[in-house]
Formats: sequence, C-alpha cells, structure tokens
Amino acid sequence: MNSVFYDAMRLSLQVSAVATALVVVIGGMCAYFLAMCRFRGRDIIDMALTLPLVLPPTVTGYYLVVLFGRGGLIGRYIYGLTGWSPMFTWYGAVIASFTVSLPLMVKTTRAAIESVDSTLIDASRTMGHTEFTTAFRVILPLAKRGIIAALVLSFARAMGEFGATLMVAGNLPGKTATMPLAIYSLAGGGQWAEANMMVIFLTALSGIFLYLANRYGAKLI
Amino acid sequence: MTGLEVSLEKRTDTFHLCLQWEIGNELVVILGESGAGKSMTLKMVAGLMRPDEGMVRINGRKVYDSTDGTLIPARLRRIGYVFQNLALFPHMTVYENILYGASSAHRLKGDVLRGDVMDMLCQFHIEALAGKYPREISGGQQQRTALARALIGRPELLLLDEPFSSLDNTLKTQMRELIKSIKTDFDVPVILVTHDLIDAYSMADRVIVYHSGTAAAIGQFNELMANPLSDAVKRLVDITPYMTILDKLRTDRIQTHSSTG
Repeated sequence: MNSVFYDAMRLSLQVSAVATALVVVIGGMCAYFLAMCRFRGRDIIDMALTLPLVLPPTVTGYYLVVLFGRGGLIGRYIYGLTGWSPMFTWYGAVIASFTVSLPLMVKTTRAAIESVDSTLIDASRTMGHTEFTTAFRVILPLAKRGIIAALVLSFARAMGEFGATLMVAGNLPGKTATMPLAIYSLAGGGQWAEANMMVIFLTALSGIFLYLANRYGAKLI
Repeated sequence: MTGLEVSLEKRTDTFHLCLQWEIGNELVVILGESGAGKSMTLKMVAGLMRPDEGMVRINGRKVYDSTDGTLIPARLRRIGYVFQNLALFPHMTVYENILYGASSAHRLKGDVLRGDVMDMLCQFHIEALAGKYPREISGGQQQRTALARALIGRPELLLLDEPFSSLDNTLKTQMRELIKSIKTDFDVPVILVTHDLIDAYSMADRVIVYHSGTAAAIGQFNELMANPLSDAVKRLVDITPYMTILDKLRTDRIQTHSSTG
C-alpha cells in the first residue's frame, strides 16, 4: 500500500469512526425522544434532522460553513474562546460526516423503536420500572437489530461522504483528504492505478456494510 | 385489601366513557361487547391512560383525582396487569420475565429475590420451563408465566384483560380454576375483563355489565341473569340463553376431566 492510499484510508476510518460514535449517541437519543415523546414541534424537529438526507451535500456543507466558519453563528464563539476553528481540519470532516449520517441513524432507529410492541412497554411500567430501566431493559434490546443496521448504514454513509466534507474541511492530502476526496484528486491527476485501488476498496467495504445492514435490519429498512 | 373505587370520564373522537363503581376484596368480572370501554377502564385504573375527569382509589389510596391534580404514575400504583396478548418479553426467558416483574416492586436482591422467583415458578408449575423463551412454550404455560410475573410484586390489585381469548376450552376451564385460587391464595382483588358469559358465571363474585361506555348493571351473575333489569343485560341474556351457558360449562368440564384423566 502506498502512502496516499494509507493516509486516506486511515483518515476515512478515523473520521467515520468518530462521526459514527457521535451519531450513535446523539442520533440515538433524538430517535428515542422522537419515537417515545409527543410534543409540539416534533414534526419540525424530525424534518430538520432529515433535511441533510435530501439536500445536495454542497448545500449541507454551505450551511455548516455558515455555522462553523470562523465568523459563523457557532464558529465565532469557538474561535473567540479557543482561537481555533474546525474548518479545514479533520474535525471539520467529522462535523460534515456526522451531519449527513445523522438522518440515517435517526430514521432507522426511530422506526426500530416504534416497532416495539407498546404493551411490552406498558407491562414494564406496571411492574414498577422507571422509563430509564424500561428503555435499557425492554425497548433498546428489542430494537437492537434496527439500531445495529442504523449504525452500519451511518458508518457507510460517513465513509462515502464527499460534498459537505469538501466544503468544510477542504481536500488537504494527509490532513483532510478522506478516500472519496483522494479518489477525486487521483482521478483528476490521471493516477488511475491508485484511484482504482481505492475505488475497489470502498466498493468492497460498502458491499459488506449493505450486507450487514440487510442482515440485521431486513424487517425495518 | 379493601378494594377499588372508580369514577371516570373519558372522551375520544368516537367514544364517551362515563362510569362509577366500587368493588371490595373480590373477584369482579367486567362483561360487555367489544368497544364498550372495558379495556380502557383497566388502562385508566393502571395509569396507562389518563382520564379526562374523575377519581381512582386503590385500597383507600388515591392514585388519580382530577379535582386536586393527583396523578400517581403506573409504576407506583402496585398493580398486577395481565394483558390480552400477555406481553411476555420475547428476549427474556420465563425465569427472567418473572425476575423482571419482581426486581423493581420487591426491593429484594440476590438470593432472596431468586428464591422468591423460584417459589413463584413452583407455585405456577412452570419451574421446568425456567430457561425457555416465551416462543418455546404453549399458550397455557405463557398464561401461567404472565400471571406469575404479575403477582410476584405482591400487587394491591390484579387486572386481567381478556386473558383467555387465545385458549381452547379445556385450558380456559383450567385457567378459571387457577384464577379463583389466586384470589384466595394472594388475597388480592381481581378484575377480569371478558365478553364471555362463561367466565362471569364460573368465576365472578360480582359482575359489572358495560354498555356503550357506561356501567349498565352491577350485581351477582345469577341475580343479573334471572332479573335482567337493564337493556344491556337483557341483550346479553338474549344472545346467550342461560341454559346454553350451563350446557357449555358442563361440556368443558367433561373435556377437562377426560383430558386430565
């Protein structure tokens, strides 16, 4: 393996792993509350969380620049406090991957939680168990297959992320150039052998992810 | 145990439930056609559905009162509930299902808790099934597991929502005997919802007849059948003549004896 391939693969795995970990925690909580709680504005929150799924990645990326750029709505406070900005760093790539994977996690996990028989949840409550215990002993174990499928899909989406990452993190070899970005550069530079290797690797990886998602979430997706 | 006092009102888009009744330490059967509000009443008593107005008192303890805002959540009402579909946790074994029913309400831990679960398994003759999952046992065994799970927390009230609907006649007869013995052994008021007159005839200390969201008649089964004052009871008697019940019950008993003998 040459260093371009190795750097891009290491960076892709690093960014995707961190983004997926965040997506599992934050997306899982969002999915749980959307599935279990009835409150005003639920549909609006659901729509906002789903938007990155349908928006062009460059539009999502543009919003992230507006939010996290040095003078952005959130970025200015980060920069003011730390003198640092996530733009054009691998953290920016994590933010982009997180944003585009979040809808997959929320939608799939929510469907899995909503598919749990509500009488099982009621039964747990009448036995004296708290909402917390009911969630961790009844709801989440029964929704496990859907959550695993959501995790796999989110990781796959993070691995394949291109447009938003390009907007937020740029395409800096060894620093922010994940595999999809490296393929773009290699193909543009006529380095077909390296590009082929990465394309085959990503295709194989995506195939494995889809197989796992289908195996675990066949009833949900 | 002193019983249950219920005075409730609930409106939905298509239904209006308005009722008032109280029971003592007895086995009461709520009888009525589908959609009369029987299961809805159980859910409101258990705290799984919020009434619009009214009051619920279990053993003298107020668990819901719309006038002063009292609303005790389901988990603190100390109610045993057997759902129509039994609601056994499919990812837990029979032993784990009963342990889960005990672990919160009992406040017991370790060997004492496990011993209690084993006692309950023996009492319901399901000790040999402890390691099996609900899908691996029969309908009657699932019923016993659900009852054991509902009772291990020593509830102040046992609610049974059409628990026999999926059983054959032989098993139904056995389960009726079991529930009558539970009433005695556990000294707990029992409310059983059904649309089957045989259940009411063979088990009930008293019967509450529901009709269109109201408690149309309350009394002993024989009295209600012999003297059906309300239209709802008359309709029940018309649909299922009294003698048919006796014939059906006799047939069930013969079947039970022949299958157990």
